[in-house]
Amino acid sequence: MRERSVRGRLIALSVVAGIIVTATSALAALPPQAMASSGSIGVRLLDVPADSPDGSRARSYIVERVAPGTTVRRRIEITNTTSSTADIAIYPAAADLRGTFRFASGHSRNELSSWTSVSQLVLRLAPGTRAVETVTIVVPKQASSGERYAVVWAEVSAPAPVAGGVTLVNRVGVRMYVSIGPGGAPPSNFEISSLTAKRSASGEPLVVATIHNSGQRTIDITGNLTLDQGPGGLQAGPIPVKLASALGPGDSATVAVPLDKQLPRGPWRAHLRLRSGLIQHIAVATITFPPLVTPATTKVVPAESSHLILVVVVLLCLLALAALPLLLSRRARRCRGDFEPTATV
Amino acid sequence: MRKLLLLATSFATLAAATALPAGAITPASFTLTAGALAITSPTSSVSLGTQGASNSSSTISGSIGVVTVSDERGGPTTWTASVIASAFTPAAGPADPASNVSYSAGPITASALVVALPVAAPNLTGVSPVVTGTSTGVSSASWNPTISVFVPANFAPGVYTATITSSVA
Repeated sequence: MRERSVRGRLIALSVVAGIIVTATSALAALPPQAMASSGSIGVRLLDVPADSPDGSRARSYIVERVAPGTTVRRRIEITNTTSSTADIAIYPAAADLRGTFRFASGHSRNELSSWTSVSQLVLRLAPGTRAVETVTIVVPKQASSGERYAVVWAEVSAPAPVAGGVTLVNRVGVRMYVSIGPGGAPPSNFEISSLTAKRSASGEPLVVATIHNSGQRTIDITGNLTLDQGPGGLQAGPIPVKLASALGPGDSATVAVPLDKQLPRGPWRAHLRLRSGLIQHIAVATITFPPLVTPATTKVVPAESSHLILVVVVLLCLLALAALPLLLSRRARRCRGDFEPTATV
Repeated sequence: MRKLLLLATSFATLAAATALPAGAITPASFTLTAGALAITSPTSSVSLGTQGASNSSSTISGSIGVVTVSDERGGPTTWTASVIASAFTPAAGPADPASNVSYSAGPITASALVVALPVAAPNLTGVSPVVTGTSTGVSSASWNPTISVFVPANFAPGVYTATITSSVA
């Protein structure tokens, strides 16, 4: 009887050993990179509409078409397939669509992300578990029409390094495409149409930008200017920038940022960051300030045109010199009386 | 008793016939819900290496571990993996800006049904796409990125720390 049970155990052991061997050989067959994987943090959209006009996009992303003043609730599921408990930060952040869908850094905000909230900021998930989170989008009544983009992120971070090094943060998200219908306030936007270097009458270097209000609302604009990659790696700024007065729809205005007279001419890499509410635009340009001896950049243009006049005068003189022998020979022929007809009848 | 049984049976047959009319098509469907999009969870902070301070510029390169993106959402989907770095900052003195930090995905091991392409990211100041995936079904892709940090000349000795954030959506 005892003998049989021992044999039974032996068989059981060999079966277990067989499984281990198989598992090991299966693992060995995998590419080395896959073996190094330590489990993942995942996110998926729940309650996916079966027949959405937005097709496959609506299966993976939060795609909504709503009227201003609407509240939308969507559910996402966050999974932890790692072998340790994970503290997962859940938050919405800005994104935009310029050719491709682009994520903004960290917790950057835009209109849609500021309308979006989650019920728990940090989710503690035990190994191999999942949790459901509600994403609430409260579209304000005054929201202007148009499509907005954001991402709801689930983020995990490696523990902060004890003795220096690189802290790794990984995040995975569900994109949001929310299209606001008509009925809200008209949209607001602006453009930085030019960014140039000039010098004031008193010799101060100036960074001059032209701003155009391309939206349909009056806006206030503030921001800052940074200069970097200057001579010898010099940097300057950030220098606060504020538009003197509010800019009406369709209007353009010039903003001049005065800098210190001692500032080297450059070249500099100028970054002008301007903001109106949640709308932000950055203009980057390589600029060189006009030399101090020239009173202002505006006088450089006539200088160029005077060069042009000189070139024209020289060309005319050369033309006159070339034509001189011809004129002289004609006069000589006319004197001899053999007049050539200019046209045959 | 037998009559009663017969009646009951015929009623039952009638009921069955009413419930399932001959030749009717019973609609049958099932729904496959979309799965998760997932990224490897980092387990620890990493060191890119040690190098002696020098009066000439140099580059330190190192691995930050394998990144795996698994896409179980199914159907035609796309994803973008993007990376941003902070400046490498010592305890004291000037930092090495993120504009000197580059990311190279290296060879990508991808399963069937996904085309994962690396994108050069020579400057990690902003969120930079590093790998784009176009999948037609449940799939995964792995790569072992190399981070290279350009260290300008005359940088002071010290431990430089930074944060590198990888985003997938």
